Amino acid sequence: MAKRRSPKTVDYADVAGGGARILELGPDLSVEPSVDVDADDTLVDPPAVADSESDALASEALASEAPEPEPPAPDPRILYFPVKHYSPACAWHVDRLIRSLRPVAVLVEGPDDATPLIEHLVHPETQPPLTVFSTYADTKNYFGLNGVMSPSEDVPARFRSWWPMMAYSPEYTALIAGDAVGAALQFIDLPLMARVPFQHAQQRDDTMVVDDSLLAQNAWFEAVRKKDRRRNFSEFWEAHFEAGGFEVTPERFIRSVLTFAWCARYAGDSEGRDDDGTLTREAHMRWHIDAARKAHPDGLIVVVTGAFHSVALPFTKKKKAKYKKDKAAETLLTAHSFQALSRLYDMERLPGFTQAVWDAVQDAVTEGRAPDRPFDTAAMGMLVEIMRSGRAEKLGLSTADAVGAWTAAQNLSRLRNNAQVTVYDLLDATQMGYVKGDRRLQGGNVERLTREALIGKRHGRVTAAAGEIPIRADFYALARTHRVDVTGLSKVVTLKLHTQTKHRLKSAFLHQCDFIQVPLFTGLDDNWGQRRAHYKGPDPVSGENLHLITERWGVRWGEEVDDRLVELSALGASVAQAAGEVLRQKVVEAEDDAKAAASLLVRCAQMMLLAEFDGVLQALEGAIEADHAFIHQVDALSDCVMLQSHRDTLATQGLERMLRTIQQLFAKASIVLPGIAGVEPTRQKEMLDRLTSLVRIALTFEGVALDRQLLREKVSELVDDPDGQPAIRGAGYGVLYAFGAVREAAIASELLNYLRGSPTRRLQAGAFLDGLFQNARSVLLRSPRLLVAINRVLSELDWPTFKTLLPDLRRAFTQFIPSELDSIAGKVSQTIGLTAVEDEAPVDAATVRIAAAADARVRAALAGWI
Amino acid sequence: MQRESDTLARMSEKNALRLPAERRCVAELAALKANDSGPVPTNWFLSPRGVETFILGSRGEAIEGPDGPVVISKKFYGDDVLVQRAIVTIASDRGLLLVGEPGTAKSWLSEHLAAAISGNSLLTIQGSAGITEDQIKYAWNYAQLLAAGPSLDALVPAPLYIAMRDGAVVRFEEITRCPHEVQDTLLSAMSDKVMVVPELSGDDGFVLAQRGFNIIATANTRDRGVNEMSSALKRRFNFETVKPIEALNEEIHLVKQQVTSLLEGGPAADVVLGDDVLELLVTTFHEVREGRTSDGVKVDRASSVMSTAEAVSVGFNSALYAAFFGDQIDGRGTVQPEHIVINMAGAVVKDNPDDLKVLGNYWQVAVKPRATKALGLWKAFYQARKYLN
Repeated sequence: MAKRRSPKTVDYADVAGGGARILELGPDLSVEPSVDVDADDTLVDPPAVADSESDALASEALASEAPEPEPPAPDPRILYFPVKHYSPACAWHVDRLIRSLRPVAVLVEGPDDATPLIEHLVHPETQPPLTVFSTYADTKNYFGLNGVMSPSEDVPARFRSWWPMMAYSPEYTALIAGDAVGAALQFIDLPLMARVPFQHAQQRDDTMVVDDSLLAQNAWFEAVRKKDRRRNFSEFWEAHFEAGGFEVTPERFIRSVLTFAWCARYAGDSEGRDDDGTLTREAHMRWHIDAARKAHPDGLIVVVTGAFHSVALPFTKKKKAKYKKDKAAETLLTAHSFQALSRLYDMERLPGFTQAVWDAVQDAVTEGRAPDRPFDTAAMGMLVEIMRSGRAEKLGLSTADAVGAWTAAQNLSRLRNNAQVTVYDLLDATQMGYVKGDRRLQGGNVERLTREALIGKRHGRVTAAAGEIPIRADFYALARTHRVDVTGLSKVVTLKLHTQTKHRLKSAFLHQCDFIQVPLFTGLDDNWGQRRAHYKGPDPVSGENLHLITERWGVRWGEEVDDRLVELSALGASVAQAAGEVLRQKVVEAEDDAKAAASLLVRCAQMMLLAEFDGVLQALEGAIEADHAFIHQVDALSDCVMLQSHRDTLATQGLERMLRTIQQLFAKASIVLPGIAGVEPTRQKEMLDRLTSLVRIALTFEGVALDRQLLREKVSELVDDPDGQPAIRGAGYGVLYAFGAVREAAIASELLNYLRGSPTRRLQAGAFLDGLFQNARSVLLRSPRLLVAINRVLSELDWPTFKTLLPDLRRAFTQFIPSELDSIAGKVSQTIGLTAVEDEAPVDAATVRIAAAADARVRAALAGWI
Repeated sequence: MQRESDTLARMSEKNALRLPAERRCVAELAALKANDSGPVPTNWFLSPRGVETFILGSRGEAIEGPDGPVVISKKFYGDDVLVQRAIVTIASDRGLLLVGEPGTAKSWLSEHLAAAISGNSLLTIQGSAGITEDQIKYAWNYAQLLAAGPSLDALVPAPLYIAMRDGAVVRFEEITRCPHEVQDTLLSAMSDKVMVVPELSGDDGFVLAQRGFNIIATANTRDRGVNEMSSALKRRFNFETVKPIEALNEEIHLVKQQVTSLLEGGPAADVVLGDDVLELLVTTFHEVREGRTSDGVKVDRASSVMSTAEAVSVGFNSALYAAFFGDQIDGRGTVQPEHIVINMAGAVVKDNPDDLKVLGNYWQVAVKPRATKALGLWKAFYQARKYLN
């Protein structure tokens, strides 16, 4: 692609076409400032900041050759209005300008497939925050990213893009103002499908959000930022273009923004890039602009785009983008919230504060006056709000603290040469004024309250005419069916899983919501600190509380539920579909982990996603083959056995196949069993626990014949390894003894081998007994013969050896509860010929008689006194 | 600046080991004053923006001073926003308490703030366990007191008294090392802005703090924590936490600047101290402090303070060692990697012998791989490990 021409002069009036148009149209276009201020003092042109590095970059850009082709001549009928997204100053100026100029068309940066949604966006019933949301699931692997941006080629890569619109978004105010003056309204940017190859694919990011990174990420701006001692682009912009932006004429404002954008683009290192699709987007936007010019032969056309594009569009050659089209690609208009917006931008946006600024501007407009220091008004309101919140939380904040914080904010603002208090001044001032002590230790609460206040709470509304997002409609329909409260009240939902079918269905719905992280839940009062604080009931995934027969859920609906449902709309048209999709993705990730796959099988049953069951089971069968971890196999086996035994509540289907899977798991667990012989000591206990579980299943599961012979053979292999861990070997002997495969003499002999071995090996005898007792526990209690054999070996030990072994012996016997120990002791004592000692009375009968007589006489003597 | 003690003027600056900031930076302060167009708070020497430029530097730009153009040097490396907040705090009715690890330039910042704001950084109270109230507020000339009774002439003003009377900044170093009752001496000065002198009557019986008065205190986190301060006193301070320098290149630059400054005019002034040698020193301090190398390898942290100030000290000692005992090339000593190692052990190992093991481990985990790759002087640095023992 040919390099683009760089304008040869910094004076934007000569190069930016539409920008010049504003200045040329004279008084009709001029919106005089409502307050008498010296514009030069209130808005800083960044390029005027002298700096060797930034100047050098600018000079280099100016000196560059102008390549062919020649740019098209600027059209005086097109007015390019440069904006930063989410800018109250831009929003205010563009609103006033459009209402003043009354253009025939207003073209706005935004996905062009959303143009049909504009009528809903400007509908009186629609209220920001809103978002234009595009989503696409690449089921046909058009982009070749399945398996790259999704867990496998079978799982479609999903792409999303967000164009949030706040009340103070210039794009939004431009559309509202354009609608008010009867202009044709249109989005002109590329739709999601055209942007995937440039943005999602390049950055390997499934979610893209409109931002101003092009203005911020270039060498020129970095030099200017350092020079100006600003932390980031946001602080720089707010200081230079927002805080002073309401006190200048639109002409001066536009000129400043264009000049800034020009330098960012041509003095930095951003020009000519198309790896992110910038040039393709601009050519496409230009195509729309030219089309609009033909469609509207007379009158002004206002083009509202990011400033980075505004400086290039007048010279851009039109080219309609070609891209793959698919009906599965959707673009929706939906309500949004401040919290969702903050999450989209990693909590860097503080919409509550900006909205407060905008509210102050609107108050002035309503009262017919010019905005009077709206940032100061917002900042002061926020400081008071934070102080009151802190007081409610007993942080000891007072009005005097708020006065101190406000003074600090103003002084910081002055020191930084800000026209008004910016959000960064405010953030610093809250820390200075409200934190009383070391900020690292005592600043947390103030910081949290500050962020809460600055992010704010507001939720938008979209007119019913725009239709409903399918998954949201499904959610609320199911919520009605299952009588789940969506009013915001905290409720405890109790479900009797075994007795009521409708409760089981409701449970499945709640499990689905939980699985796909719909924020519908709140902690139960008696369940704080638990992994799932909002849920108390049988948890077959973790194996906890399986004895419970009811489920209790803490439910509290909030507006963030809607935000999440919008995000999930990319996954399906219903809650169940979305849950199924998430499940499928997780199943792919668990392809070589039998334990994880079995857990998903349990979740699948719990959510009653019956259609998914076969697929998950199939994945589990594959994982059994690929996974050689004994623990994973036994855990998966336990899950499947549990699924069989709880089929009433878990609605397990495919029983025959399940039984085959159980057989497969049992066999695989047996086959990999010998591998645990040499496990490191730190993992010994979990191995022993799994061996116990495997034996228990072998002895008790009756659903299908399990290959116990295989297990016996493999346990024999396990104990035949003389270098194996003694506890593991002991456990193996216990299993074989329980199966009747070895006699007690063999165990006694093996114990003797330990005791007569090297000093190191002798010390392992206790661990051997420990393992033995764990898996021969019931046999030990039933049959005295093994006990006798062990006792005999121990009795023959010399005293020093016995003393050395004693701690491990005691530890081995701690596996038994006191009554079992009594029983064992009784059996051993009988075997070796000890008889129980009769309890002797503490006092003989004669003494008792004498004492009774003495007592009677004393009572008689004291009778008159008591 | 004219408020400085006459004693200082009588002393020879030429042979002074160290000059206070307002004396070291006379030309810079004068140039800033001459070009200061911002509003200057009452009794401040410079405007807040002038103070900011004095601390953070003029980024290489020369400012025309009375004696010619002057480039304002950067005095504080780290968080620029912290400096702005500190200046605003001093302009408010709250004191400034700089908290942080030892050697993070708290006192350095405090001194330069006082110099730029009041033109005098010598109104300093050095906190200690043995400090008494009269070292903070005022004492008496007892001969005069006994002879003529209490009078203003018999009163010997201490730094707090002078600062309140003159509307100046008083520095309180290591405030948390002082007993609580002594710390609380500051309460009335900070809240009511008045100091009562009960021995005197009439107008002499109290000092009303003049505009410009404020307190810059410092406290290091290795001593008694600021949590032991009374709530009443804490409320009257804004806390600023000064952290170690995060950027390695900034720290190298600063250490070089400081070591060069310390060497100036001394017997080792002409010693050759290369950037590559300094990089070894600062990288070692930086990585042992962070517990991670620039390659992402985890290393043990030393229990002692691996501050920039300590690195400066090691650099200075190494330069002296090279000048006095090192090989001379063209009559000049050259600092070698082994000189750094020789002087490093004493700086790192203070009261915990295990810190030597930490350094030994660092040499194995971080220095050896670099030596193997023959990166710069790292090989010589590795070979000098014998001096750690």
